[in-house]
Order: sequence, then structure tokens, then C-alpha cells
Amino acid sequence: MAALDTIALATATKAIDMSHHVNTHSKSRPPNFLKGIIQYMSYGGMVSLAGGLPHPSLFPFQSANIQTFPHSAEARPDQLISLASALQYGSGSGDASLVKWAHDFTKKVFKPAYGDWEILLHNGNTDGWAKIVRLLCEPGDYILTERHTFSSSQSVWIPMGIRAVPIDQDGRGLIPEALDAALANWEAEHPGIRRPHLLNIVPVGSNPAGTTMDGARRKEIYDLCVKYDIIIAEDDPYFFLQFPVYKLGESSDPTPIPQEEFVKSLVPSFLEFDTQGRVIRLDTFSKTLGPGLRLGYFVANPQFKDLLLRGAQCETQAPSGWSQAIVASLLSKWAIGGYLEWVSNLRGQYLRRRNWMIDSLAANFTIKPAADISIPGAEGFVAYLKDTDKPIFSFVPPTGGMFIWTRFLYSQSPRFLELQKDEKVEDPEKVFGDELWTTFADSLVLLGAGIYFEPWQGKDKQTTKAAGGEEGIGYFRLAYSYSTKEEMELGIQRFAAVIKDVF
Amino acid sequence: MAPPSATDYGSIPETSELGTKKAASNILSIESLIRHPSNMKQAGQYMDRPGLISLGTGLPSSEYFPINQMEIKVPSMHKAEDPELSLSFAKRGGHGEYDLSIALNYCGGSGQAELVRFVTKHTEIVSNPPYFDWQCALSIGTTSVTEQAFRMFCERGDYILCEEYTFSSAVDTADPLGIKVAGIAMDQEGLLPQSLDEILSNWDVQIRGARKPHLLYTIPSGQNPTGATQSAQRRRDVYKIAQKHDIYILEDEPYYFLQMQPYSKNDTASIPQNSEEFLQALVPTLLSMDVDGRVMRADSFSKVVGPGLRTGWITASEQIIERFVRHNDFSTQNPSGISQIILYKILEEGWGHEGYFKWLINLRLQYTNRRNVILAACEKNLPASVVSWTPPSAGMFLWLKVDWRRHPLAEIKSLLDLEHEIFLDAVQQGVLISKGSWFLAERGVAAENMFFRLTYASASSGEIEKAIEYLGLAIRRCFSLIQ
Repeated sequence: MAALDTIALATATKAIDMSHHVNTHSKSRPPNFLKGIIQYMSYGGMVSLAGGLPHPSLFPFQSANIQTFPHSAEARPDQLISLASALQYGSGSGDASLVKWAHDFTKKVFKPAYGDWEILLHNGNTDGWAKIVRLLCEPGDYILTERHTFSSSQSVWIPMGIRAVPIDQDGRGLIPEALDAALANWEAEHPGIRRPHLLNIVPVGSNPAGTTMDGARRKEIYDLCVKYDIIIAEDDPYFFLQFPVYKLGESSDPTPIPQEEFVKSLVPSFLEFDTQGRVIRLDTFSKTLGPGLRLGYFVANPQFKDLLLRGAQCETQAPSGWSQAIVASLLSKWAIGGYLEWVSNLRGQYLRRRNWMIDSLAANFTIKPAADISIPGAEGFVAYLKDTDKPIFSFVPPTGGMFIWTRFLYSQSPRFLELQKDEKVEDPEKVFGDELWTTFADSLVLLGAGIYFEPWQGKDKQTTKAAGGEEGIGYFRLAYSYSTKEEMELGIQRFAAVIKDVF
Repeated sequence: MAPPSATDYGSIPETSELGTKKAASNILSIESLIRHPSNMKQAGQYMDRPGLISLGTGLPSSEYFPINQMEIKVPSMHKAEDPELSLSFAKRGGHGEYDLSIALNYCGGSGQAELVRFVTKHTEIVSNPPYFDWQCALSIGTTSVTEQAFRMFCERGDYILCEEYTFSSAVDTADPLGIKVAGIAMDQEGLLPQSLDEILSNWDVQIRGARKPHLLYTIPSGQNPTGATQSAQRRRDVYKIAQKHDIYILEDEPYYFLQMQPYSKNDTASIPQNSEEFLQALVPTLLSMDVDGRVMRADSFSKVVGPGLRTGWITASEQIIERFVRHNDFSTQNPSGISQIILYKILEEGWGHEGYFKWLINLRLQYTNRRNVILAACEKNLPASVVSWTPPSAGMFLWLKVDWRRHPLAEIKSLLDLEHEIFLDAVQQGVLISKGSWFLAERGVAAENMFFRLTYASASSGEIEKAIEYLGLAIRRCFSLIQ
């Protein structure tokens, strides 16, 4: 095994030089003196009076014991990892055994195409993405995003005066031709402004669109990123929540598939195509073990990893030692196979939930395949008010993640037409969308308003029209991750009742 | 109530009448002013409505978290007969109880309410801030708070004020942000108010190439690296200067509860027997004097419970807390849910406020012992002709001053070269110490004096004694002194 590893290392490519991507802020990060003397500590007989570390005898914890699923696999953090070290300051790199697990897991499951990639822990993907923006972007830069993007991701960079360049998506995710066109025409449309060099993409269960990008599409996108020298931030919290394409009428209780089959069915990560080290992968335990752990990791080239580490050392430091100790001991007990078993069961649960929600929609609306009808822009299925000819919204059943993204035909509502005619109303889509969201909320069902996911393109592009949004169209995001089946059904009933009223 | 929209950028909460007299736009950076509330977390305000079903956020259901139960053992602060306290908590499914199902899920940017309540009450007991709209919010440690505060209060090119020797990470953070540092002179009690006043009164925008600084970063107790502790009067004087020049203060106090018994050979000072005596023995905080609401106090559990928790909290006016929480929402969010629930169970359910103070009294005595050991070892082993120090009254650091001009090669070698020589010689002898130059606030400015920072927090008594013996040998060797 060792010999094969050596051969692999010898032939694997190394990441290319990425220093031209790093921003002024990060370029000027000095190495951390105090962390730099750690090398001296391993000298035989050395007594260190150098670092401000409290003595572990002064920590009040005597022991800790956790019980995890399955019940027979009881992990004791204090047996596998010394509590004294989990609770102490470190170099900022975090628990070595956890980093090693992440390394082995990445190698096995994500198979990076270049050789010298590295792992660095972070406090969850919001933190990870914030750090990437702080690594690569100058104030006033532009960032490439999906046509609809997670609002928290934007809130990270909006205060830096950064704007989005939204790229259209179809059922397989980002459209390569759209990306190519945006970049090819950049100089012409933005003379004197630096071309965007960072792409934020949620390629599995895109939030909010729910699309999952297959390998062939990824290769096309990667090649374009090589052509235009783009760094890809692969923001991937839902990687294991991948589902087959929904078939109308399929069982809402699908038979679970064996773990090996599940793993084989997974689409490849962008890392598999990454020969140059231009992908920074954001992996997190939030959706697989629990968001409260505030724990995840980057996979990045050595240059980026070093600068991200320097940033962490004088900012967030390492993630919570408790979270690290618990997760490290759990993963060590489960091993990679056990973790894959866990996520494959988890995926089964979310697949059921997706199907429950679609069933509920089918129970409350008449659902027809969009291919059979010609409504411009509608894909997947179209929902009609029962016993009418009135199409209200369409949706593409998600092939990943936790959300159904519904595309509403506002012009089917008399109230919307009223707003559209009113000269005093500058943005009828926004006003109607707000009203509709509030009506849903007042009827005791909360949805994700589509405007939350509109990429920020600057103060002068805030109306639907100015931002290039479609006329008479609005979106709502429905989550199937949290409620019980009964709650979900009730929620969809309320959803339908409001729609009947308003449209 | 309409969902918050993308058009709300630039709007910040109204300033409150009493106490927070500052108009936020004078002190907050553009980046901070632009931060808007999280759309989705605002929708969460609806969550209290009975019967509401949320299909709005991607919260995973707690049935999918694989951690079912946790048990920790900590020392009991109440029963002498039962020295160990066992705390356990499980994932029962919510319904009001703060359990693992809540701890393992997303929570808001100010942290879990139950723990925020504890630290708020604790802050009220310790500091009783003299204005009404103060609040607390959890943090992931003061290193992170410092970075966020710099970004909240400063633009690129601004200056901040801090002690002339300071925590190096703060400078590591400020530097790349394009923030410059103006170091303020210190004496053995720390920051000198006269120096602060002088620098501000004589600030020349042309010469400095920057507007007058409006942020002071100070570590008033057991200062890192000098170990200096500002007395009550010193703090009052500093606050007055801050008022005079309208300065906002970042009060970084990770060592506040490592205030020790006074150092004297006879050691006659009585040991605090209860929380009242303990609190009376402490130097008052800047927060306790903050009539204007111009202080952000950063507290931390790192030195008192453990750095790996990555949990602390800040106290400031409601207006500033709101901006801080907005920042959290789109970066680190909140401390680890596990850290939070552990702290809550120990502090609120296990020990209570009285028990926590008991723990802190215990720490006070531990650190007192350790300090006494290192000082005795220094008196025994270090050459008084060359090395001097002020006994620290708080924290974990001893700041040794070395009279480098007495070095045989002082005429031809630089301070930095000689500092390095002593550092390496000490390593050779088997002791690792920290160079004072690492902690200079204004890097690149030539220091006049040579210092080394030693900690007495981590090594055992025996190791400390040995280490100081080695250090003595190294210094004598470097200065060609007879043993």
C-alpha cells in the first residue's frame, strides 16, 4: 500500500502558483511568532515558559462520556483524545487525528486530481466562506454566483462593497455557456474593472434551486475556470443528500439502497477535476452530525491553506475543542465505512421527506409535467389550483439538499395585475412578493421569500427590473428538513388555502 | 410585517437616549454600518406564534443528530463530602428544556439565551454598569472579538491606540487590515494616562497621514505581555482621558479573575472566604465606571475554564451589541453548541453564581502560589545587576527587564541581536522564553529596552525552578558574569 501511495505522489501534479489571487489584506499577514516557536518545544527536556497556556490541572473537567448512535458504539472522548489537549490552546490547526481522518476521507471519497492538497479545520461553512472572501477579494470586487444564491453567503461580502455576477442555472446547475459569456464580455461591459476571479457554487442541492451538478457539467465548468483563471469555492454542505430524479407517483417510502451502491451513485466533487489546485472545498458536519458543533474543514492548495491558517491564528483560532474531541472520537469509532453508512441512512431520510412534500403538493394541487405544457420558463412540474385551468407555480423536484424552489406566475393574481398597472409602484414583483409572504405567515406557514436569494448587484440594481429579473415571476423556497410529516402536510394545506384566496 | 429586504442597507438602530450618547456613525466603520440583519433569522421572530409551521429555514431535525447523551464530571463547589459533580444531558427533543437537541442545532448570533442570561447576571454582579441599555452577547474568544472590533470601528488607514507592548495577535490582526498602531507609554501599573493625552492632544493629521484615532485597545489586568495591572485610580484617569477625546475603549480582560493575593514575603493578606470578600478584593473594571457606554468589555472563559471551549462574551451598549451580532451572523455565527451547553450546565445548574466565584477564588490561590514560586526562583537565580522586574498582581506573565547595555558587546551589537543571543542560549540551557520584541505595538520602531516574557501558568513548580536556574545560567554566560 505504501509503495502505491509513493507512486501516486510522484506522478500527481502540484498546485500552480495562486499568489495573484490573494488580496492585500491576506498578502500582508505575518507569520505568528508564538505559534512559530512550537518547534522548539519538542527539544528533549525543554521547559516552556513561553506561551500563555493555562495548566490543564486548572481546568474543571475530570472526565467526559458520550453516547452516540448506534447505541452500541459508545465513544469516550477522554479515552481516545486527551481532554487536556482538546481543551488547551493549539497551533490553530486543530486536533491532528481529526485532520488525518478528514484527509483520508477526502482522498477516498473526493479524490483530488492534484497531489499537494491540504486540510484545515474551520467553524462551519459560513465561517469558511467568510474566510475565503477575506483571503481573495478586495473591497469593490465582483463575485460569480449562481442565479439564486444563499442569502447568508452574500451578507458576508456585501459590507465589503462587493457585487454579484449571477450566472444562469438549468436543471443540472450552472450553465457553462452563461459563465463563458459573462466572462468573455467582461472587459467590454465593465471597462477598467478587474474581471471576477472567484466563483461561489453549491453544486449539490443548490440553495435555493435544489439542482445537483453531474460530472460532465463539472468538467465543462472547471475547464472554463482554467481558461479564465477562476478560483472555485465549492460550498458543499449537502453533498451526501443526493437523490435520483423524481418520478411522478413514486413511493414516498423508497427502499433503502446498500451503502456501496449509494457511494457509487454519488456525483464527483469538483476536486476530482482539479489538476491545478484552484478549487477550495468547504466541507461541514452541520447537516450530517449537527449545526451546533460549528465544525467543518477546507480542502485547499498549500498556499491558500497557509494564509487561511495565519488568519485563523489571530482571529477564530481553532474550532471548539469539545466539538473536535467529540467528532474525532465518534469518527474514529465509526471509521470511514461507519460514517458512510450514517450518511447513506441520512440521505434516505431526506429522500423520504422530499417525497412527502411532493405528495402533499400533489394532494393540494393538480400537478402536470411542464414538458406537456408551454409556459415559458417553467420546468419540472406545474401546479394548478384544483379543478381549474389556472397554473400557479412550477417546481423542479430537487436532486439534492433540503428545499423545493417554487416559481410563481404572479400574473395569475388579480392583485398583482393591479400593482403592475399602478404607476406609483416601482417594483410590483417585490411588493406582491412581500404581501404574499406576509399572508402566508399570518396564515401560520413560514416560507423562504425568493427575494432573500436574489444576488446583490449594487444599489442601482435593486428592483426586479433593474436586476434583470423576470417580469411577473416570483419565487418561494419550501424546506422539508425540519417538520414532521403531519406538520408538513398541514403546512402545505395552509399554503394551498392562501394561494386559492390570492390567485 | 414584511420580510426584510435588500433595500435596508445602511439603516442602523436608533441610538438610545440615556448613556449611549454616541452617534453610531461617528465610530462605526462603513463595513459595520452596511451590515443588515439576516433575513432568515428575522423571519424566526415569527416562531413564537402558536401553531406556526415553518417551512422557511433549512434546520435539520434533531432526530438526525447521532449524539444521544453526554455526561461530564467536574469538581463540586458545594459539598465537601462529595468532591465530584456529575452532570448529564441528553437529546430529548426540546419542549422548553435546553438539551442536546437544541445545543446541536443552529442558534442565534448572540448565543444561546440561557447562557447569555448567566453571563449577564454575572456581569451585573461584578461590574454593575452605570447605564441602562447595556447587554451581553457570546463570543468565540477575545482573539476573535478583537478582530471583529477592529473591523467594526476602523477603516483601512486608521490608527488605533494601545499599550506600547501588547498582545502580538492584536497587531497581527490590525496590520493586514491596514490599521496602524500608536503605542502608549507604560509604567509598572500599565498604560500612562498622560502619554495617552499627549498623543491625542498633539495628533497631527498631516504628519500622521490619518485622522485622530478613536479606539483604545487595552488589557488592564495582568496585561499581556508586561503583567501590569492598572489600579482603580489609574482606570478612572484613563476613562477621563477617553471622555476628553471621545475615545471608544476595547477592554480586553481574559486575566481579570487571575488577580492574586498581594506579593509580600510575609504574605499576611487574608484569603477571601466568600464572593463578597472576593469581589471587594478585585480592582474595579472600566465597565463599572462606564457612564457613557463607550466601553466594549471582552470577557473570556479561556483562562478560567479552558481555552479549547472557544467561548467568551462581550458587554457593550445595545446599539453596539446589535452590530456585533450582525457580524457574527455572517461569519462564525455562535460558539460551539457543545461548549455552550457544557458551560451552562456547570455554571448555572452545577455551581450557580456562588459556586463559580468559589472556583475563581480557588484559581486566585493557585495562581498566587505559582507566581510566588517563580519570583522566589528569580530572586535566587537571576543576577540582580542585570535583571529586574515588578511582581505581577494579576495574570500569568512575568516581564523581565534586562539591562542590555551592560552586555560586553552592547557597543557593537544591536538590541535585537543580543536579545536573540540570550533567547538561543536559554534554549540551549533547556528553557524557552518569549522575546519582548515580539510584543512591540509599533513594529519596526527601535526599542530602547530589552525584555523577556515568562509565564508561570503552565509548568509545574519543580519545572519552573529548574527553568529559572537555566535562565540564570544563560544570562550569566551571555553577560560574562561570574556564577
